Amino acid sequence: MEGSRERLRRLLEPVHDRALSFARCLCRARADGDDLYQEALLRALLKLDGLRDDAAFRAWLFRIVVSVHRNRCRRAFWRRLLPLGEASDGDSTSEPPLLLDLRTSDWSPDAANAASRARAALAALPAVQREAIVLFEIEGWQVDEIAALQRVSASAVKSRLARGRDRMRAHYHQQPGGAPTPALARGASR
Amino acid sequence: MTTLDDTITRDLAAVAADSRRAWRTADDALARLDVPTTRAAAPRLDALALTAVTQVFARRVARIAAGGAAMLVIAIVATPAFLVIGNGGYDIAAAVDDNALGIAAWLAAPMLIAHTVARQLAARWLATRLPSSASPDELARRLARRVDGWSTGVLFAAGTWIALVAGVLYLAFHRSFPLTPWFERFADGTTRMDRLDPLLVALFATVVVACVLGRAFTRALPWAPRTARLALAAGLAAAALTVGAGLRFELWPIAPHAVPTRVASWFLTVVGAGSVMLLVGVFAWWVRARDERAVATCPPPAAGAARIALLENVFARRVAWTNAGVASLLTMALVVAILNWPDRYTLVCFGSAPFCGAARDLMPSWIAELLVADDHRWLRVFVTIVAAHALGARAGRWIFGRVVGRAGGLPEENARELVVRVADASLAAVVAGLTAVATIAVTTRWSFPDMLPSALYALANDVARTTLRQLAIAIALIAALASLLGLGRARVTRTLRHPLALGLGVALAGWATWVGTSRDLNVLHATYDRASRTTTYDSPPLELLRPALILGVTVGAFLIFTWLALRWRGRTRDPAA
Repeated sequence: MEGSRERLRRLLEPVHDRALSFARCLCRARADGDDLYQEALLRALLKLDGLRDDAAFRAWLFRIVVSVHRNRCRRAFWRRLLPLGEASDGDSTSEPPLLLDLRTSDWSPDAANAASRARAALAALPAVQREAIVLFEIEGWQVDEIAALQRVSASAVKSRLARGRDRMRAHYHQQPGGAPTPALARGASR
Repeated sequence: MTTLDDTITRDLAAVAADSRRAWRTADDALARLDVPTTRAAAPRLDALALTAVTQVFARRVARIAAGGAAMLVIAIVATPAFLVIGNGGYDIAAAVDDNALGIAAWLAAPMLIAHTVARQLAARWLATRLPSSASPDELARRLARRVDGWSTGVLFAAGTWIALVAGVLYLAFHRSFPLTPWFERFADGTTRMDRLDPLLVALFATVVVACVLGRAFTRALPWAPRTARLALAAGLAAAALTVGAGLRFELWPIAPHAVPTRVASWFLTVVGAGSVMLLVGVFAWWVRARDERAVATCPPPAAGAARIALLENVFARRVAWTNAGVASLLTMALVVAILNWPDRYTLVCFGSAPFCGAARDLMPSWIAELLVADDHRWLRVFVTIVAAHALGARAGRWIFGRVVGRAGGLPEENARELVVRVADASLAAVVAGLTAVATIAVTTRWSFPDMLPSALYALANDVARTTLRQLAIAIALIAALASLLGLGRARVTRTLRHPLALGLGVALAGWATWVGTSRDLNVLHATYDRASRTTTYDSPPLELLRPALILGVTVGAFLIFTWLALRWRGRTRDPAA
């Protein structure tokens, strides 16, 4: 196990930033994203012996993140079906701790609102569309790379991206007061 | 739209920026792998460790019971050798008609019932002993090992018996079960009975091999996978040789014009039985290996795992009864539907009945055959309900494992909550199922004495249609009353548990039964006019009495069963408490 840990440390170093960011973007709350990433790392550590080609580590790790994310979505379904009042380890059902962030950082209210709005819209998407949108729009992956990760065709990824966008637009329209004004939205990019 | 797209893109950029705040380094993330809370996020199989072992024990006991029941049925009913005993065999064999569904029901019913009952009893017996045991893990594993040999042996013997008897009867005799041909003499002076000597020897040999196998497994001498693969290949080759030789040299079937030689009979039996034994043996080994894997991969049980095993058993039982109750209600609704549209469902033709036209090709006629066609209908209905119970128990264990093993929070609390939540639904479903079966059984006995034939001939009868409509309303009423009960309102439960409710139920059901059996309610009440040679169906309409009787039976049965179920639940200790 110690050898695996060292190997994981070596392989993780160049992809850690992207993977953690990806996990955080998939979840509605950043803390849930951290949990998701930790669970994926744990699974990666346990299965590292099965990884033969170190060059494929990035895709392999992202696939594990995606797998854990989908498991959590399924778990969320079971919790909705048989709610048991458990501790929060979900992704799309818990509210983000925005107030805490605003008090403890220089994160502007506009940016916080923009991020909250986008996270809410992302949370309303099916898991596969959410993954495609995050990888394409935020992480800058190519369609072919996403297709290989999700094990679907490139046209299916394009379809998921288009449908995800449509749903996000619809979600923005359904917000109280309609879509945000450009002036408010510009604040988010600062 | 472009503005909105720009906004979304900017907001997504804000998400990216937000995701990079409060950053964690890779070292930090790796260090957190040692934090217990992270490990706790993984499936907590240790809490369910004992349930896996208790399930293996219960499965093995159930296999012994089901296999024993199957062998008993084959020995008594399906083995033609029994016929030589005398006329007693005729009655039993006559009960098993040459209808494949009839045979399947006669074989499936004891197997299913034995499997379900034995599994429930074994799981409950073990689960109630685990919490008080000093080493529950060791106790469960020891018991699972103890029944290992018996389970494998009986599974092997029963599987081989079923395959051999079914194969010989089908391939050699083409399901020729009528009794007279069995004593018909072939040209060489033998009868079919004589021809079955090799089969009897093969059945006996199967038992001997099963004993050897069971003993070998008890002594922990399992086959290696390589041996199993070799046995599988040899079994397939032998099976191919048997069937191929039989077809090539026309040794199948045994018929007066083509009687195989004694040598050929023995050859086919030895090679065929050998192939079946090898294939079933590999199957038994595979089943055992799966169980052993489940036991071996179980982590040491966590604290409270014994109580969780007990709760799992209760939850599975309640889900099973819920499923059985719902299945009973739906089956009875299906019976009413079939009676209402018999021409759509049935293949059964009665002489020149004009209802068996092109419809026979349109609808799944086996449903009607299964539920209402002949004298064995209630046996098949019973098998359906027991099968639903068994499936429900399986589903309950699956749901329990998924929810308790993966949901957040404490596993034991989740398990208790699951058990409590399903309690009212289980009780309501059982009451609904019992009431539906009682209502349909009693009222169809009055109105449709022979079920499908009555319905076929009564298609043009308004009284029959009205009666069926009333029965459909009774089913809906039962569902509504059960839903009310399933809500678990304290006031409703208190009222229905009162002795007066029982008294009212007994009075209603008693009155309806007494009046119903003393009056002629048959919808096929007919008058034959000799002059015109026509039959007129002039069923007594009984506009008010008939629906009143149906309502009386329905409500009376509901009140009685509810009172009994509530009393039963009150007497049994709730394990979640």
